[in-house]
Amino acid sequence: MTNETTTEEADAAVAEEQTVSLPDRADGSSSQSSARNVIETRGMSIYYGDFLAVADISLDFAKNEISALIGPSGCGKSTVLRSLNRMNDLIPTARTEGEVNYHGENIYAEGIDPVQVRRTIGMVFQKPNPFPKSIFDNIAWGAKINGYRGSKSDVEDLVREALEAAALWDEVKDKLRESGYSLSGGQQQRLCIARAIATRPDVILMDEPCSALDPIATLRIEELMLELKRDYSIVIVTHNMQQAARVSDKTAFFNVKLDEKGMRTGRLVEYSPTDQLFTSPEEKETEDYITGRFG
Amino acid sequence: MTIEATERVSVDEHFPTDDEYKGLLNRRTRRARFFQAACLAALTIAVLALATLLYTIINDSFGLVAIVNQNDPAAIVADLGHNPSEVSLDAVPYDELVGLLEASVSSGVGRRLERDQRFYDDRLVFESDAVWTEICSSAEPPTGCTAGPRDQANVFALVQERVVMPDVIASYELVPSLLNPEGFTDQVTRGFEAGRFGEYTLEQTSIEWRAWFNPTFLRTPQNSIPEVAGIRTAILGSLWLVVITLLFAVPVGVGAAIYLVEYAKPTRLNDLIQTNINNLAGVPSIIYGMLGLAIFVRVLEPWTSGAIFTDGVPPAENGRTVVSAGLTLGLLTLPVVIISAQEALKSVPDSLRHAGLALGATRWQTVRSQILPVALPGLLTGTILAVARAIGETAPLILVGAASFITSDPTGPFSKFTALPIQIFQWTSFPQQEFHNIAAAASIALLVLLLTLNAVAVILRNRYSRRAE
Amino acid sequence: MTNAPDINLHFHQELDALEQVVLGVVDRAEQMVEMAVEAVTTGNLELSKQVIDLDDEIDRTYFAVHNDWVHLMARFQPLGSDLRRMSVLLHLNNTFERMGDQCVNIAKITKFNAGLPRVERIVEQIQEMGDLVRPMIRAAIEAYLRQDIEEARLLPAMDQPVDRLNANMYKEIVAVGGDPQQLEWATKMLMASRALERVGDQAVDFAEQTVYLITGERAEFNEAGLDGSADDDSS
Repeated sequence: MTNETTTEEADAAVAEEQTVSLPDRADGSSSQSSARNVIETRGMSIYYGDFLAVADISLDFAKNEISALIGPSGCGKSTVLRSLNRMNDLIPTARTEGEVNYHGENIYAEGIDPVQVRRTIGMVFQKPNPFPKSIFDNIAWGAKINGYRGSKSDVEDLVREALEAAALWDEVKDKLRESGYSLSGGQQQRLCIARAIATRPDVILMDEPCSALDPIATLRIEELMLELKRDYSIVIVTHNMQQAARVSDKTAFFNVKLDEKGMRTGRLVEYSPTDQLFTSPEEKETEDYITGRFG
Repeated sequence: MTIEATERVSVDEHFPTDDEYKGLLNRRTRRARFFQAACLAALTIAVLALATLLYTIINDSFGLVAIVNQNDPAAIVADLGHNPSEVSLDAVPYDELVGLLEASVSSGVGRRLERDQRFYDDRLVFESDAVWTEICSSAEPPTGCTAGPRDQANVFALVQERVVMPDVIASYELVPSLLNPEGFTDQVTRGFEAGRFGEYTLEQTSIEWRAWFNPTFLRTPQNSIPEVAGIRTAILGSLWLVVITLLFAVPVGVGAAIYLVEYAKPTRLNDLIQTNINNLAGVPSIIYGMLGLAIFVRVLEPWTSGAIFTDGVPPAENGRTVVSAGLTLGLLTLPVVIISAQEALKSVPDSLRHAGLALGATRWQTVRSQILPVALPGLLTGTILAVARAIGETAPLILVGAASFITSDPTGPFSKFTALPIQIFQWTSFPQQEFHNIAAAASIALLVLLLTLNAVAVILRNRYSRRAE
Repeated sequence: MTNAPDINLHFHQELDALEQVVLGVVDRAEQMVEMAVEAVTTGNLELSKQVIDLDDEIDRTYFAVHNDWVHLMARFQPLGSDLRRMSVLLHLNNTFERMGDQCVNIAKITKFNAGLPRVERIVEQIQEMGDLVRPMIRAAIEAYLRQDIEEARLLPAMDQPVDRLNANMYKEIVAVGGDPQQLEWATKMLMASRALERVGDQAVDFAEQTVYLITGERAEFNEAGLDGSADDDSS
């Protein structure tokens, strides 16, 4: 140990300190994730009318990571996911309290336009829902309505890049003008992912993206997620624990609690690195859930 | 074939035994067959009713007639210097027809005809120029001042009416005509023996096959004698009404439906609006007629008569114009259009809306690019069906001022007009059999129009839904 | 300790059954230690043959358990404490198989030493080591069954006398003196001593696994590094 460290070494040391000590995944994915969180929720509670669906959720989603939300049905994980891009606004009785900070700015603040939020926080749904248009138009439309200025060949490049990023290009490059519905279920879902990517979002939210797909298609999408992690931050809701274990860096476990009035409210039980949560979770509730000793 | 139950692992006494089951099964099958037959019977009744309708209409539209021409058309043609076997009366040059009229009618009748509608753009036939200018600048000028000149078909009809003067003295329905033509001849002969046909003689009478529904019928304007009358003005009037109704009801109705489905929040006010729209769809059409009369014809007269758009002579003397009727029918169909458009929009799955919004599109962008194209077949179908319904409405048109006797074609939105249902209604109220014949013929025309509209709706819907696939 | 229904019942039942098999074999291993020590100290060839036969049984069980383990893993993909228990059982499977092998080593020495004169002191020491090691195995089993961390943490301390006795064994051999036959006997007994020391280490290892199962953390129980210990680990 010398006393003189070069500037580079000092910088590296400081950077080391600042990086979150989350274990790198076995696939050697990028360890350049900084401590910056892309989305933070603070004390978020969501009501449907008088019904408190989820209470007091505080979560940090880090950049270029995949975070999984798991829990039994009715625990509010989909509700939480939808609140991250204000899709809950579409439900007339829904009301969100607390903060959801995207790069530090609360997306529920007065004067924030949900349309703008959804451009940078995209979503893929449980059942693939391509538009009844050609494959090409499916992808180009999102860019166009967001004001994409480009020549015809620019748009073609955009479509190609999105399809390549979604691992779908080779399968559809000869039939871009065919309807999106002519694809299989797994291909349609990858098309939806390509469509979401085409608007260059920051975060991609996925609501049980594989539950309507066969196992092979599921695995392809999981592989895709691990690729996409390099450029995007992903939050996925899944009811398949093994899937959460396979793809995510951190996992949040939600559970339903009955309060004294008999209302079932979802709460966050544990949010830990995935490896830890599935081998030695901190909370007994989590342990009971993942081993099935759970009602 | 019976299926024997193999050994069951456990027996539950609540279930029937094998024999009981067979008996029950027989009873159930019989009952099922009974209800199937009952439904078939219901269908048969419906089909029979429709068949009867068609039969009645067609029966009256074709058949044998005993007809007397007061003046023989062939003789007239010959008099004019043409060869009757080569030229028929309706093909004679226009000027000669006008001359024929001049020679045949009194000047009083001629002037009246001219005031209804001129014969030429550039000269007057019966009226003098001075008098014409005077009456045209009076407070209530006759229609001839503004309406376009007559044409060949129009004048031929006049010639028929005033010179040839055909008179159908007896007519026979289609089915008897086909099955028993001699019976008709007997009937006519007996009629002459009994002196039922006045001063006509059997020799003047020719018994011929007549299709009351024929192309001429469609081209000829209204006339007071049924042998000559046609539904040209009525068809044109109905078509104008369709266009105006569509132009009003479609944008307003579809727009309202889009708002109600895509934008409106479920507040009490919106519920109230929705309920009232549903109720309005069931309001009797005559109420809409009264509404149209009060608002479009009376209050909005400056607009519906066109007075506000021209200074000087207004296109119409009052608000009883085709635009008033079109708007009234538009109001009538509006609730139905809104409801069917709503259904079409609601049938588009929400997943498409979510997909569009999740990409950062505004509501309108999502609706315009993703929802409307998918809902289009339903929208088209619903709209066309609604308009087709409006075509058959009679009561509101009567109130709003469909003319029962008008011979000039509608030339613009501010024209006087008539419509097919009005015509049919009017003709059926006359006692003469011949008027019933042409009423039946007009009904055929109306049915064809309706079927065409429905076919267009179905074709469009099929084309668009195939494209969406 | 939740009275919520176990929705993973079939897996837990099969896991419990597998655990029973493994623990049963560990139990058997303890008996084999007793038999092997008896055989080698009394020169009982018959007994030593029994030990070797028992080890064949243990080897067969080892393969069967391993097979069942793999199938359970493939079918159920367990998580959490179930996953840790699976990993511990796999480790234990290995451990008892090695215990069996050590007992066989001891038993074979009986044959090699047949007819050779015994040294009483060494006989006593071997017996003492056997009497120390067997309770260690029992304690490790108890700690596992009761999920008792405190009990598991006692094992390293119980291992110290065994290690000391093993370290001292060479002094005893040196003290044997001139008689070549006795020397030969004594040198062979050194191997028995080492084998018993290994069995002790494996019992400590068992206890480490128990702590991992309960806490989810790996704790290396410090072998109180005895100076001059001639034996390193890893057999």
